[in-house]
Amino acid sequence: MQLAGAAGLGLYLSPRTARADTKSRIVAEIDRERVEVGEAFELTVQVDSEGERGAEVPEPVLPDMTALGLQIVGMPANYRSTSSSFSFGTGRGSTMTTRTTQTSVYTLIASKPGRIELPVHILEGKTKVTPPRIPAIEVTGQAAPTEPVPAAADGPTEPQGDIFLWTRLDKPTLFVGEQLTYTLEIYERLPFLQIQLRQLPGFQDFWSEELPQGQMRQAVVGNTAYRVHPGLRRALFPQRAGTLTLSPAEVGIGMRRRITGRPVTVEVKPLPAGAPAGFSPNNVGVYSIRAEADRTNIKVGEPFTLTVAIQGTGNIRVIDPGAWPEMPGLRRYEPKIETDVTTGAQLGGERRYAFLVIPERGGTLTVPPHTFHYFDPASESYQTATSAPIELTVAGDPNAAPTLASDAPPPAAAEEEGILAPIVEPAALPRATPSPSWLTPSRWAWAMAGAPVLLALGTAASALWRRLGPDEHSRAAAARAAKQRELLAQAERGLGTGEGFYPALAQLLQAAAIDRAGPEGEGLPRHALLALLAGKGVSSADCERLRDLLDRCDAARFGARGESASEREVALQAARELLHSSAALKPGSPARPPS
Amino acid sequence: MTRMRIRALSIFALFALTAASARADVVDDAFARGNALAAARDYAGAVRAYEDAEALLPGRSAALSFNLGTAYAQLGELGAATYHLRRALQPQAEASVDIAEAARRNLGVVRQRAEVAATAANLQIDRPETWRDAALSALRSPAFGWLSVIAGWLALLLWITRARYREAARSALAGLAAVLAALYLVIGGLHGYALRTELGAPQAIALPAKLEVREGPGIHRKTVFTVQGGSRLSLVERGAGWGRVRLPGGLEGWAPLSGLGELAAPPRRLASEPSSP
Repeated sequence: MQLAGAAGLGLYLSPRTARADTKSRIVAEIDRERVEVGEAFELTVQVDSEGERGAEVPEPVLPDMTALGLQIVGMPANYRSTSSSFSFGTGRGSTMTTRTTQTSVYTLIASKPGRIELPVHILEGKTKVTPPRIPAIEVTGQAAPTEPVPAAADGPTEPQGDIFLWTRLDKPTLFVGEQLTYTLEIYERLPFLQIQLRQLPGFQDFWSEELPQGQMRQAVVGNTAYRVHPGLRRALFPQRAGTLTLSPAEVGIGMRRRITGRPVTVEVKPLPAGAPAGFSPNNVGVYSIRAEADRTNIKVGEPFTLTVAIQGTGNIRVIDPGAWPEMPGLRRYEPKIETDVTTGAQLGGERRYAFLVIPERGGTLTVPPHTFHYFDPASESYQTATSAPIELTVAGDPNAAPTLASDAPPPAAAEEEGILAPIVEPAALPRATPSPSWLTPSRWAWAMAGAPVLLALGTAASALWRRLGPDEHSRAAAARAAKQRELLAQAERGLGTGEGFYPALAQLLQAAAIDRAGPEGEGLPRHALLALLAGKGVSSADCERLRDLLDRCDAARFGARGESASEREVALQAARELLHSSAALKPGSPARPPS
Repeated sequence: MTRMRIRALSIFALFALTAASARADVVDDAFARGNALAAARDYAGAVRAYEDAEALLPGRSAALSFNLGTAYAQLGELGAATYHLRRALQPQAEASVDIAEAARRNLGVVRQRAEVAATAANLQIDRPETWRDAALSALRSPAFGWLSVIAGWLALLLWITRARYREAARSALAGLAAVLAALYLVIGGLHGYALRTELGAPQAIALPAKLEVREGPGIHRKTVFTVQGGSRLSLVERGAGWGRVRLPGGLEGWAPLSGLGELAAPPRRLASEPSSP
């Protein structure tokens, strides 16, 4: 039952809300009552609209501002707010009202004095809704002069308020294409901030080039001191004859004030009659011309660069060099053009035309002079500048046929057949079977890396051997043992024949005895050595056996006594026993006290 | 058994020689046909005949490459002319003194034309070869590789066996080992650097009259500069059908591989179709 009641209430309320009516009104006001010409003020227009949420708010319709002498500065600032409200009436349900407020703020500047009314309105359907009070403002001061005045080269003679613009032209009359220097200056008596050029002067009938601005200076106009700011400086080149007008510039001071200059006129005369053939009206000024080649001793077909330069004062960017002369025996391509502009009191500079030229035949060739006509406004006469001819010494065939077109594309091959070496025509085609080199880059890299790696490994192994290998004593003992083995082997080889047996055996025993006796045994006679051995712990029996063996060796070597193989065998066996007996001559045997 | 083997070897040698001579005849025929067409100033036909001969030739021929480059030069195709004339001057082609001199002359003429064309059309062209390029080319030869390897191993051998020599000879041998070690280091370093420059960026020749180099691989990419045909480029990277090339001056971009003739690669047929014999 309660749910049904709520649904019924919703259905009852909804259609009433949707059918709410739209109603708009407008309010406009100005933030001040009085301003001066050029001073900015604000017009605030507020449009209230009641109706459905999202309904469009009518745009305010402004009067013709130009006709009223007003200028809108920048875009208006817009604000929008929306609010909704419900109203309940007894027995009628509820009504929702949406109210949208659109506020626009315009910055305006008046350009003429007087009382100005601003009848703004809105259109609601076909109904014109006006504000309850039409906003109005009182503009005082003087309107900016719009009548053009002849150009003047001098500064102002009468003060014109706190701040004003002044235009100077360096000459009142000139020829078409002659330079006119335009200077815009800002005269201020009080220090103003944020002075900006808001609108450039109109140079419709002129070619314009920027010139460097001057410095700020002080000037006295009448009895009033002004500070003069450089605003703009241009070199102007009139493009047609007649009385030409330069529309004024406009300067903004912050966002609240605008000042406008005054239009000026200049008289432009046409160029006089009697221009030489080939003269271009672009060539007004004072010019000279020169031509140079980067080298003069060349070969047929060898390109060189010919540079023709025109320099002087005038509108150098639009200079017209005229038709280039024919160059017999030389082929010339389209030039590359470079311009260097100098900006001082007069615009000028140099314009260079760099040609790629190719001699087509040998001998002495001449680059002919180039003639260039211009109009000198100072002397009011047509002048001619001519470059010097250039002599070229070209090595090659003087009778070679020239090509026809001077600006043709690079020569076709057949034209230079004589330059190319001819094809070769061997009876059989010589051929080569390239065998790839064994030393490929990877093999070369391995081979190169191998040597230092091996050196490093060898050095490391040597260091390890020195550190971990046998010491000097061990190496000496090993050397002695090796020598002993060698002598034993020699003695064994002499067992059968006896040749060399006893010398080897004697040397072996003598060395073993000295080794056993130690360093003091060196150089001792036999009996002293044996005594020393006995003192070193060798038994007297072993000493006797050693003496006996050594004596036998001496007898066999130096005496007449011969011995049989069996006797040598016995001697060798005895020697072995002595050598291997730990108590006798074996190296390192412990010393025993003599018995 | 031995007789059977000799017979079989004889038959094999006969077949092999017959095939080789037949192949040689075809190459010579194509070469002679190209010469005849060139003599009749039909350089396009001559190019096709020469390229037939080059396709059939298993090895290299400086004369064939020279004639091919000269015929292309006569046609005004500077890129292809430069490519073949440079191939004629490669060591593998084993050019005779006369052919090498003629190839250098024609290469100079083609280069001059390319410079003129590049200046007239405002195209990029490689700078002329400098002494550094010539030195690197010489240092890449295997002779310098062998020299450095042998010097290194000899120095090592002298160092290892130094103890075997008499005291008087040791100082002289140590000096010799030092010289060899220096040769190993200097020559080896230079040879390695030259190999690295060649392997890292093989040389290629721009074949079309104007080779557009783009900022990336693909014809939809912006053209950054245009190279004159016949210019020498380094191929620093390869993509699918495109290669990143660098002019000796340092300008880089991507160019289609079809527009490049790699000097170290097998020869390419540049004429549109083979000639009919």
